[in-house]
Amino acid sequence: MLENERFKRIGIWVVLIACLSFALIPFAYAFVQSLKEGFDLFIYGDKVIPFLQFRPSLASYKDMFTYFPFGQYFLTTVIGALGAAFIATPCAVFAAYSFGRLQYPGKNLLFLISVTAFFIPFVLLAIPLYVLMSDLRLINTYPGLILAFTTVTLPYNIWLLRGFFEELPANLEEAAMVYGCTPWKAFYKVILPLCLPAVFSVFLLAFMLGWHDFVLAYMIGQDTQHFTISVGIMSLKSELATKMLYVMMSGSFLAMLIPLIVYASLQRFLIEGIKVE
Amino acid sequence: MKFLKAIRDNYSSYLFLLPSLILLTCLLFIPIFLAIKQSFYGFEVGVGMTEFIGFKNYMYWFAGKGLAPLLKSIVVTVIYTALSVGGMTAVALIFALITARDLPFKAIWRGLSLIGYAAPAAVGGVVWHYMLAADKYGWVHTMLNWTPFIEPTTMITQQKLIAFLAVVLVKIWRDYGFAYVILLAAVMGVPKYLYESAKVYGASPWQQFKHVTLPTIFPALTAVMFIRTVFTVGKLTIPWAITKGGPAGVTTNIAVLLFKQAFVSWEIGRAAALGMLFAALLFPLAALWIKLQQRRQ
Repeated sequence: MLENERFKRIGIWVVLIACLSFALIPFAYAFVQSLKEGFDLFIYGDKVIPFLQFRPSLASYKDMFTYFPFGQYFLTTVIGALGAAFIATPCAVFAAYSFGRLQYPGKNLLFLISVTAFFIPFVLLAIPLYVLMSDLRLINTYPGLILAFTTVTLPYNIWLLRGFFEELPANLEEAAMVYGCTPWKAFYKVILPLCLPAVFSVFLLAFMLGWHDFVLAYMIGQDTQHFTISVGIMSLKSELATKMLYVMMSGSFLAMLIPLIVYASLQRFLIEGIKVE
Repeated sequence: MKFLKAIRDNYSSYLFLLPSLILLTCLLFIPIFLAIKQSFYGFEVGVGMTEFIGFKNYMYWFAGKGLAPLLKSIVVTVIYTALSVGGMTAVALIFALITARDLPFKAIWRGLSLIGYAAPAAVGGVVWHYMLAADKYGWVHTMLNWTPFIEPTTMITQQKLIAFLAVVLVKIWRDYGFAYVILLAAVMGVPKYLYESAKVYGASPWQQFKHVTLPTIFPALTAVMFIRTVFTVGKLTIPWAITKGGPAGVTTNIAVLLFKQAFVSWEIGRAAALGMLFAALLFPLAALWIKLQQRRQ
């Protein structure tokens, strides 16, 4: 019986390690390969352990910014994603407050309309947006990128924030109004401060939505200067001479690591964010 | 009159919505109207919409050269979606069953289980592409070479079956996190006493899973599979990153076909028409999803 228990415990750890290896292997791959400079990647391609099996080098992290436009890619991504988060979050706070805490006719219908964009596959959104953006001459511009991201971050943020507003105790505003607050004052003196951590998390989730997007960014950015990191890596994949593979690995690793850091700082809110998507 | 009165009585509630509604009107509703119009017009890059051509764009898909690729992509979409949704639910369930236990450092294992979600789909796809692509520096390729299943060629993603399975595998890797979050909560919500009494009757771990865990988490399981279906049907980034829809179109689902038509061939008119067809196919799914969301509240 005791023997049996021990086998079971070992079995669980084996399955856990197998599962986590599957989850982690692309991260490990990109990181280990990024430590192999230039042709080393081909000579020591299958070696895994730095220092023991091959001599690690951080050259790829320097070269990707000096000889390749990764700096520009990251900059474009940050401008687009931050811009969209800055526009979408305040608008979404107001809308979500209204949907989450006020009663009025037509609320459910208006809510459904506001979050429609979230059921529509991005590729279906990209075509109308392309027609609009090319009419307005916004293709290949930062405002175009920001607005394209806003189309999806706004519904996403409204959806998320409505949940947080609904969870707050029911009579907060009434209590504030008893003390002589106007409805508007009750909103920004009582409700908003309580929601600030949630608002900040939702801001970061909106930022990540832009960071992760490929389709909308591809539609807007058609020259290297306006490539986001996803679009840039995808285009380098088809153009790059294979001996430059090591910078692809460091670029990919950074593009995956930064969201990881942001997500790790979100904790509880991360789960809410994933549940909506 | 009633409408005006509703607005007058609740104007401050509507005022809160105004910024969002203005933005969405400009970025979503007007463009959708434009796209409907575009599907009846020609398009030239740099010029925009050209002359009215009636149903020509639609005829291309229904009766012209587009029919064969469209039908093929529908078949691909159905198989691809079914396999990846089934696969990601299964993987998520295994993760959930393991990490729901009271292991040391369980928070770390649960966090690491979600790691695929941190990777942008395009970047994760490209990294997997290199892992699969070649011998020696592509680790997965190297491992597969130890098995008798594949011919050691330079690019295994150019073989039809392997390419298709690779795309499904990477899709599972990227997206099982959602199912994992829901299923972990469901598995942890199964009352402990049910297992205790099952043990009293001498149920084996497999019997406990089959007769206690599975029936209890079944509603969560079906909900997860449905939601994942809604969100997998329209995605193209991972097939695009790994195979660009090839070889011979086996990984071209409707989304990839649409994307290629619009942003590789720049046939925006035809793409708009295909988009309308796709939206019509998706509508029942979306409607069902909205229904379920409302019931949940």
